[in-house]
Amino acid sequence: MQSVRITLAVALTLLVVVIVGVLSQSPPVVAGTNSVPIQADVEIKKGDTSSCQQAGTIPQGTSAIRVGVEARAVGPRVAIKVLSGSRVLAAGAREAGWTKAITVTVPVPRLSHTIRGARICINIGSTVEPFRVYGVLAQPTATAPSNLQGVRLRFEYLRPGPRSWWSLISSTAYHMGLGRAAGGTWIVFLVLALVSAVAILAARVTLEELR
Amino acid sequence: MSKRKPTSTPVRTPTRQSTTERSVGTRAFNRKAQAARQRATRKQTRRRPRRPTSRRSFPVRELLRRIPRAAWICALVACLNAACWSIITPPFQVPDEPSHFGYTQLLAEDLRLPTSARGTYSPEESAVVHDLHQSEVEGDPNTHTISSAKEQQILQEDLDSHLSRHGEGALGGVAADPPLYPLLEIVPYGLASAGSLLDQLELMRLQSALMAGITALFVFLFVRETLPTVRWAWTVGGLAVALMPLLGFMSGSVNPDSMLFAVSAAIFYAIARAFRRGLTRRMAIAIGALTAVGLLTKLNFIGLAPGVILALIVLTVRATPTYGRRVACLSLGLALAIAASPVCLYFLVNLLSGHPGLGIVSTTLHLGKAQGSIFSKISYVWQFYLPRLPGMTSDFPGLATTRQLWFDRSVGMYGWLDTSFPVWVETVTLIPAGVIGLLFVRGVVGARSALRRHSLELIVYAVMGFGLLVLIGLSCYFNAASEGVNFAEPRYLLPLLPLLAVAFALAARGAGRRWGPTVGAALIVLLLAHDIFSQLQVIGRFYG
Repeated sequence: MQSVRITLAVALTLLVVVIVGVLSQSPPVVAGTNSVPIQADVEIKKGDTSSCQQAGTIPQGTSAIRVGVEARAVGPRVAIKVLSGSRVLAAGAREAGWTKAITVTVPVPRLSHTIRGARICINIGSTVEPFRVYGVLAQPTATAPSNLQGVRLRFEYLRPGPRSWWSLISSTAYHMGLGRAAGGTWIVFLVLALVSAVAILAARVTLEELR
Repeated sequence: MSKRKPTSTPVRTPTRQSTTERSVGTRAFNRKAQAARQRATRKQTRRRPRRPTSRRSFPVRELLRRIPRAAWICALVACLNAACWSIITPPFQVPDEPSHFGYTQLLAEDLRLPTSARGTYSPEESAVVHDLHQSEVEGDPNTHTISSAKEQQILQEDLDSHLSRHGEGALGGVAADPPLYPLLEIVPYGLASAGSLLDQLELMRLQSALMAGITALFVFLFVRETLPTVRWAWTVGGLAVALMPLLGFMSGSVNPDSMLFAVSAAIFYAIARAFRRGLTRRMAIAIGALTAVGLLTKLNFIGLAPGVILALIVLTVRATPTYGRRVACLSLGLALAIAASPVCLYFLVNLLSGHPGLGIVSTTLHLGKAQGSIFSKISYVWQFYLPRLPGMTSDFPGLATTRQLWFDRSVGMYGWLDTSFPVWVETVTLIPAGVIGLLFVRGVVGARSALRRHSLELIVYAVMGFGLLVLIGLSCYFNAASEGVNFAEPRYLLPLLPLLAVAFALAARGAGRRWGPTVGAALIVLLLAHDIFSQLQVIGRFYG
């Protein structure tokens, strides 16, 4: 009984500490792009396709690169290399299995300095189903390209924003109050009350029954 | 008084005495006495069961009283958790919620069933879906829900303008769903009909949240039946399910899955109870009725049906020495007849109206157009869940289905499957999952003698699980050309929650008698953390 009590106390304290830690972090923001607009979306039927493209200026602190690749239900593996000349500065991959979304975010090691005139080599692995890519056509052709080389992709460079989740709480609470049955910021307090009730009840029944 | 005297004597006296009486008295007296005896016997037989009947007249209350308090708390936790999810998740940002809402609205307003054609919702729902930017937000994690007072004002104006609630009824694939869940949702829909569409939606979501409570309650009772000697493990299993974010997310929305989870948990419990207490007629009726309700809730229940039938057969064989072959077979027949009644009715209605026997289901599942050999289907379904074996053609190139489709997605996938944790979380989760897996194996090894005793019951559960997995795999196979790998969603596996709860309970037990409760407590906090971080992830994605 004593060990259950201690475990519960330690684990719940740890949970609160981790929540505080997570909320002290900043959500990622778009720090820059490769200036390629989304003018075309091309369906590519087969994977295992690669392309190296001009990436423009990649800002310092970039920790993820968002690419305009859309999966129908299961996304393929997307691997990225950031190059300056022939030197690989960063590399990352998003494993296959991501779900339907019009972009895929590939984490890369944080870049310590701004890279001008960078190139990005992207490889899209084997795929179960066709996928779409967004950007502009490399050359105006009558037929749609069948691989990545025919499209200049749009890249967005993400890095942690200047504001932590704590400082975004009021705006997040305001947004939560919109577009629902009983609108208003008070809804956040209801959510907090419900989460607290769930945690308290779970802890109480654990203490009562687990001995 | 004089009339009473002879009546009391034969009842109390044995047959021998009555024979002596007969030898002394006249024929008329004997006849009178015999009539009185018969009356008394009738009275007695009527009176005797009266007491148990008066007790049995409230069997539900009696049954409810026997449920432990911890089970009710688990149910309450699941309910509150799903209610919380119903508030956090923006309207119509759950798979198929607009269509399920449209289904209920069609039943309530037009008293008719939907068609499988693709069309538009009612003018009221279409306007709200448009004002909430539902289609823009769906599938794009970078687009949040409405965020300005102006957008809110436009929405409010449309909500107040009392647009028509009558739609075309062309709801696509959702039309294949049986009508029981939308019929139940008519209650909250009607209760909130004086309010706006969003009021109706929230009340409907809250009714679904109640289903989460029922799920957790039956899961608790199932664990109690399967691990009767380890009292604390019941709470571990019950709370593990109650705190599961995917259950909260799905049950906090308008989706028949919430009811399917509850019915599935109930049938697992009923079968477990029948394996321990025998297949009484009442239990057979309960299993049959639950199967019928399951079939009327969502077609995925068909996956559990072979296991249920096997359970009934095994239970009938076991009940034969106790109740006799006739009574046992009668119970079996009763259960099967009740279970099959909705399917037969559906089949009959379709045949009489000149449609294919399975109606819209035939079209949805493409049964008529099933292509490929049986081996290609087996290979596909195998690879859908497990690594490819030598000699199999790769159906999922570049994809480790076990890890990338099922494990990673189970870690967290919310909204229209467009909201997930950062990739590193999925990797880190492998550690606690591995530890739980090892503890589970230890728990199984420790309980092997008990498991051996219940091997038939385990086979039944295995068939239920296997049936569901095969059904989902085949659905994906048949629809692969049009929809891709669209059925690889962990929510489809949640009808097997009772088995998962037992696995959690066994994992805690695997830590040994001394440390079991401690590990159980740690497990509960781990799942609470999973739930809270999932909610934060959804809040960040939609409102951040």
